Amino acid sequence: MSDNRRDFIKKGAALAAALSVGGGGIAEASSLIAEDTEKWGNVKGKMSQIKIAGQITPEPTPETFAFYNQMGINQAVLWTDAKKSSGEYYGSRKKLFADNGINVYGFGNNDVHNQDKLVLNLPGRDEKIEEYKAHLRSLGKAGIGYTTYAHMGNGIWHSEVRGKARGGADARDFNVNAPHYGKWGDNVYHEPLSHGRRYTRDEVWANFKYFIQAVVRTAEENNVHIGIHPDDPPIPEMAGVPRLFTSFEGYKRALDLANNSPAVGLCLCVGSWMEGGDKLGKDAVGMIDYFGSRERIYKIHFRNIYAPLPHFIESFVDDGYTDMYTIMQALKRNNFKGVIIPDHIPKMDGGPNVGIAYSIGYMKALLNRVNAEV
Amino acid sequence: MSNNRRDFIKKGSSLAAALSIGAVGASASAKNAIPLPAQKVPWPVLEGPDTPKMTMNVGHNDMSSKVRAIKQFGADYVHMDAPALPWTQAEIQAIVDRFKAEGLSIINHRIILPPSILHNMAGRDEDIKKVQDAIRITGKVGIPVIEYNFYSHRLREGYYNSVGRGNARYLSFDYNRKMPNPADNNWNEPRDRRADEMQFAASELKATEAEPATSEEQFWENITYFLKAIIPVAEESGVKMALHPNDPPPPLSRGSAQPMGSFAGWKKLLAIVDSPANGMTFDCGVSTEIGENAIDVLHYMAARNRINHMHFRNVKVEIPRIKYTETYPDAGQVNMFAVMQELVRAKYKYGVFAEHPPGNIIDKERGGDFIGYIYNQAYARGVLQSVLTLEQGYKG
Repeated sequence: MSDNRRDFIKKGAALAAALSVGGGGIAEASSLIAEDTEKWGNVKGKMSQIKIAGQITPEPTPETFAFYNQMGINQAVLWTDAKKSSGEYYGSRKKLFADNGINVYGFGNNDVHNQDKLVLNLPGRDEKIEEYKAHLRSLGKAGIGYTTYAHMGNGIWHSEVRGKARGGADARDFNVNAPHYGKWGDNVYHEPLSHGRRYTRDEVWANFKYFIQAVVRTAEENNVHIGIHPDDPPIPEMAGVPRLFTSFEGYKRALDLANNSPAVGLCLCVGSWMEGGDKLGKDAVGMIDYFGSRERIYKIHFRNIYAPLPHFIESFVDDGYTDMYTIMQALKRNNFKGVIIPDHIPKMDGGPNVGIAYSIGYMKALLNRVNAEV
Repeated sequence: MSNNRRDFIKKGSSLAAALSIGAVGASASAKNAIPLPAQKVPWPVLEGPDTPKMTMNVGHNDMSSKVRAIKQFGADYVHMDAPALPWTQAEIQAIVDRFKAEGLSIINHRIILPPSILHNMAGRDEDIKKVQDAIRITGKVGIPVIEYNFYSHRLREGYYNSVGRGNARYLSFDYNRKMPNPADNNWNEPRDRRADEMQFAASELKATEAEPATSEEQFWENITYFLKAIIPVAEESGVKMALHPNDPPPPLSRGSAQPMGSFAGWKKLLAIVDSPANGMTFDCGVSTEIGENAIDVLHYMAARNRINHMHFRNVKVEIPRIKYTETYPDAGQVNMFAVMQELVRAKYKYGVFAEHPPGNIIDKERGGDFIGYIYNQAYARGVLQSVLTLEQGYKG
């Protein structure tokens, strides 16, 4: 393991020039457990390394495992919070999942994600950074190579009303021109000012720089890749708080601030990106072509919406305005090796597993399709 | 609902236009990009008049909670187990209207033929008259296809549950397998097994009074009589008939020949009356179970315009007609993309039913096979949409 770490750091240093794959973390995380799927999709040996993962509870029952095993899923991303975050806990989950045929590709911690202390430099910022570094060290200890981070100061925004997807399924709605609120954890935020005053973009960029430069070394040393999630919705400012991850340029600048370390890349939620329409500098396919070809995308949130801002409703994966096949093709041609997860599924009748099975079935079809292309 | 959806998209785009926010184009920019369809296909890809159509099974009494779920799965069509014959037109029209109100069109319905027709018994002509009337009613209410079976016995006794991916319940068939301890089967197969037949393999079972043995010759006589009587009525009524193949397809089923378990038999069937109304359900699973290449079967039937319904499922075959296992659609030996692609190229326009889902753990807990159907349906829909994108896009 310590050899791997040295390797990773060395590669990290060489990366700005060489654009080589970053270190053992992802490579280790992506080692495939035996796949049941027939290989008729694999024409002339060009099978992609795209992997479909479940976002699974860290406290699964045997039935949870059976469900994902039967869906043909052998990768997972898990989330917990400060109460449980530790190397022992992460390691115990990694082992439990591995014993059930599923690799833990990544682990998130809700209490070091979307933190206004970090985004707005509120009291307790340095303690939060220490907490983040402890999270990274715990991941390193457990041999888990990936975690998602988002830099939203006042959470993910929703309309006060819910939307309807196909067949009347309950779905998230957001409308700039109708009453809405931001939410992260137990905190709820409102217009016009969520934090008492209007913050400048320069302030939020300075705070991001302070944060990322404080943690990037720890991430490298622990073989952890941080994937930054877009601000959802990708509107440049909400309730007085600027949002940085709302454009192609924003991501480029962020990776520059992280010294282009391979420890910092993207968790590209293509659904969030579609919300922005043509306002973000590049569309989702363009983002994958740019950052994917540079091996900086570590995770994809695979979902769809009916129309872009100013008013969007989340859709079933096959029913929104984007041809998800073009997303899968872009991942394939850029040799994406990370995971794609079903995400934000409208509530199908019959409980949460129904929508998950639907999204996974659909994603598998597209993945088989692109694997069949020469 | 599909109207609502289009309205919604229209509204969304006019709103976007008003606020000068355009839609994301799917342009590929990377230097190593593989070519995208020359003409951007409008998305989402919806089924059109000349494309296959995803369909799910309903009973004629099914209520709106089930129907609502079907809409969510992206199906705009259903196929239905029809009420017992005879019908009145008003009765069938009321069912059509009830589904229509939920945004679902009935793409076919399945009728059960009585023993008089299957075995040339007393009352055959009266019963054929009932079928003719049903065909006329079907045409009048605008249902394009009637599906039917023509066998004495379906050899379910050869089915058993096997362990699939992630301990999923797969359905296997073995003609020669002796019945194990029934207590080992904690799911739902085999069923309908008589206590006094427990020790026999399916291949050893004898005919019963209710389901007498039919020789190959008798089968052809009976089905020829039937088809010659009903296909002209179907043609007049604008209705197509779809005979489902023998499934499972072993050589004998309780002593009855199974001509509908072989490609040669299917060819012969289609020749009895040379009309597109005399068609079949193309089942890529059964086609593979009998040792054929499903694509060859598809080409043969499609070239003659005889595919009037379609079952989309996958299988792993050990011994053709004798021993095989039905699998998840992505885990069997049939290239499901090739199947869908050839259906699209043949301009097949009737139903695609992603049937026989493996038993899922969640379904085991709650009963039924709801989640299994969703997985199969979503997979088939993904296949259909990406094939349509590919085919329609390259046309431009």
